[in-house]
Amino acid sequence: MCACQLEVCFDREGRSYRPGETIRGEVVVTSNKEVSCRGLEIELLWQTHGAGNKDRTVLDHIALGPQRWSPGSPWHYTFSFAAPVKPLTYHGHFLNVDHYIAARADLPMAIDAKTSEEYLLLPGPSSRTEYLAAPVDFTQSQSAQSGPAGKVIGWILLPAILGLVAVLLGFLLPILLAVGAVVVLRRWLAERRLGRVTVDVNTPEVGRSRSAAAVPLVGRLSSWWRGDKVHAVSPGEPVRFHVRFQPRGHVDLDRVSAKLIGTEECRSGSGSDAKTHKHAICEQELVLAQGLACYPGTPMDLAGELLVPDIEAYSFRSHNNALKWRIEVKIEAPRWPDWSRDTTLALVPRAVSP
Amino acid sequence: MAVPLTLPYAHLNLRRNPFGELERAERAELAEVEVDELVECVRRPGVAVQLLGGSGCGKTTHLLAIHRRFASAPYVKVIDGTRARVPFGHPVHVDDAHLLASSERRRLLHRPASFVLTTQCDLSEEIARSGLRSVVVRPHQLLSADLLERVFARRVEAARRGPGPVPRLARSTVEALIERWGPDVRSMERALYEALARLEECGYVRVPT
Repeated sequence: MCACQLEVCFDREGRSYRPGETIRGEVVVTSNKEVSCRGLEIELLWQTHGAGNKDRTVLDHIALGPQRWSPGSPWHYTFSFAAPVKPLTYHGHFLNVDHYIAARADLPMAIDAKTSEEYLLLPGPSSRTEYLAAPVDFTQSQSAQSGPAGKVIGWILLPAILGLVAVLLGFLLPILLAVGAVVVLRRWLAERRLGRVTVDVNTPEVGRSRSAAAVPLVGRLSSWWRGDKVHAVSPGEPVRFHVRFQPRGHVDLDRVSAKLIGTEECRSGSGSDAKTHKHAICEQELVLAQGLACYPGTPMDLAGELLVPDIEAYSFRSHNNALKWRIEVKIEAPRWPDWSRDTTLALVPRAVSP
Repeated sequence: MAVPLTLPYAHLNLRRNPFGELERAERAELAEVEVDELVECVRRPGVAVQLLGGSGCGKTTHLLAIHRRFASAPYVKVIDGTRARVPFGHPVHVDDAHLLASSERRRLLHRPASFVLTTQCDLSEEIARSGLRSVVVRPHQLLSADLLERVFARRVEAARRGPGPVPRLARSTVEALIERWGPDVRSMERALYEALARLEECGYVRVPT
């Protein structure tokens, strides 16, 4: 039992805030005996919880110096923080993203007294713009980000790493080549009959599915390196897209379909105990064509529309947890490899009037 | 219209799913294990405590509970395929010591310290060769319906939001979990996570058998 108890109180009954608003409240300290505290810290943070390892980021904090508390009337410490822009609050099956005000009293020769209370961060008028302006968060794992010092060390170690990779490749190259050849061959075979297939999504492009590295690549190689375009969509909105191809020869297609897939992906444990938990929050399929006869040189343009469910499950990625959206287009031909491609979507808040 | 957001698990009077993944400090705090004797064992150098057993039986929970008593002592989790750097100190806590390369483990055990190791294979011979006294604890042998009932109830209590009822586990559910999963507590927790996530109001958590 701690000598003192901390309680976080908010100025709003429902604890709902929108980005940019001020989160006000107080930390109330009660003690049942004379207590000296070396410091009281109040933090604004977000944290994931659920089936995956917890990821946590402290966004702001207030540090108060040494305090003395005596029994009797409670002590009040007010706090005021600007509500962050993202990630917005999300409650799902395996993944939950919550925002907290946490308070901790550093007690000498005793277990620290601590508490935390959630608040809800809801989309505000600036949310859409903020999400659209920072697409890197949708695509780049936090573990892949490094500070300036990390980058310098990275460049120094690069020759050693490349050397090691070269040695490893000596052993692994035949296997990698074989796997790569199968993948390329499948796609090549599929496109041999269908021609080049493109999937065009009619929503704003917000980035690429891989980080844009400063590597001087041009043309299709650059496009491959940077990954596919990422398109922004919002809850309750339709995603319109076109699947276009021009067959090189006569081909009868069994089926052309598109699936809108939203998944929570959470990693728990580490090393040999690591496990990835996946949960589909949305999976809807649209059949664009069935039993379709295509003729050589005739351009095919199949249009489709999938409705994004009205759920506030915005694209999110942290070290161990992610919320991903994509459209998977599949073209099936009899006695021939299927053609399929994923298009990454970024679910961003819809425009909210101030 | 989207469903309006409320505080997580507020309908169950909880702050979170009690059977979700915990941080190391939380696991140590909630560990329902008796480690006083083991703590005394490793207080002086020259002893290696092996927490021996399969995946998910409570080895790491024991290790964390012991480490909690030696907050400044080194703690290392060995990740398969990576080289672990074990800092100097006493007593040394190593999670998944069986994943260390044998040469690395030999060097480690020759340090003037005591060791608390979780392992899936018996390292008694290596420990004896290093001149250490070996103490073997098999956490799965300590499991019982009573203990698990306390473990799960404590997890639920730790996630409590406020006064009032919270979800409960019937003794028959705990027995069914043991029947289904044996000593694998981690798998039981995963089953309970799913069951609690589906619970619409406070009451008994039921796990499909």
